[in-house]
Amino acid sequence: MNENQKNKPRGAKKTIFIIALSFLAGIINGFVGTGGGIVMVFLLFRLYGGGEENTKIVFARTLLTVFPMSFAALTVYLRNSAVDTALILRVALPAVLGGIAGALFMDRIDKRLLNLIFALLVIYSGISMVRG
Amino acid sequence: MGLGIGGGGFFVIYLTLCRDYGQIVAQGTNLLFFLISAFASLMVHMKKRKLFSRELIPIILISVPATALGAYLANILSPKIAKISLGILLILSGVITLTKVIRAYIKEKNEKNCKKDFTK
Repeated sequence: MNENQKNKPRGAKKTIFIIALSFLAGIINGFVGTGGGIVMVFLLFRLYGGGEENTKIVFARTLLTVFPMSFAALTVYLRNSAVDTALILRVALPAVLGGIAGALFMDRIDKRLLNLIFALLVIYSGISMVRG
Repeated sequence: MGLGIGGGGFFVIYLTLCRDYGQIVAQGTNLLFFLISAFASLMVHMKKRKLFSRELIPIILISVPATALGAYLANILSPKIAKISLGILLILSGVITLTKVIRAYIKEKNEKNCKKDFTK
């Protein structure tokens, strides 16, 4: 049994783990409009394990789970008129191109570099948010 | 963003700090921005590898209503709470990931040194 398999939750512990973290990811994603993916990455790494190929699958599956979450949150924000759709029309094309470039580029960079970029970017973002 | 996650926080920061958007409108706009960029990214990922697994079904079924609840709370509570919550969440997540990267680097370096000593 390798290290990844040892750390995977099993049985009732696994069920509680999935329910708690899925709920937490949802609450965070809805409450702050982002961030659900951070919890989801943690959850999916525990379920599927680490390793070079698994990291890519976990990141892609995170995107797959956060997509319906964000759609649900967006409907609530739209009902409260808290979305600037005019701005989105201007940035939609760069957003699409950025998304495609990121997905294509992911296979060409190694797992450690991917994690390092992610860590530094989120720390910088977090400090900026707290400082206001 | 196409890496999987991480782009969202930066767009909220850009809108609040550089464009003077209110926190809640920045969050709502970010969600739409995320959905557009994530859709393109998901299409690329789906072409490359099989993404769907049965384990994702309960995750989606629980997280989607929880997200709607979180969004509802964001729209009735003070925006400052959402802003500070996001900041703390990002810092924690970054520090945890950075610690893992450093640990893995040290472990690999030690293993290389052990192999070198063994071959000597």
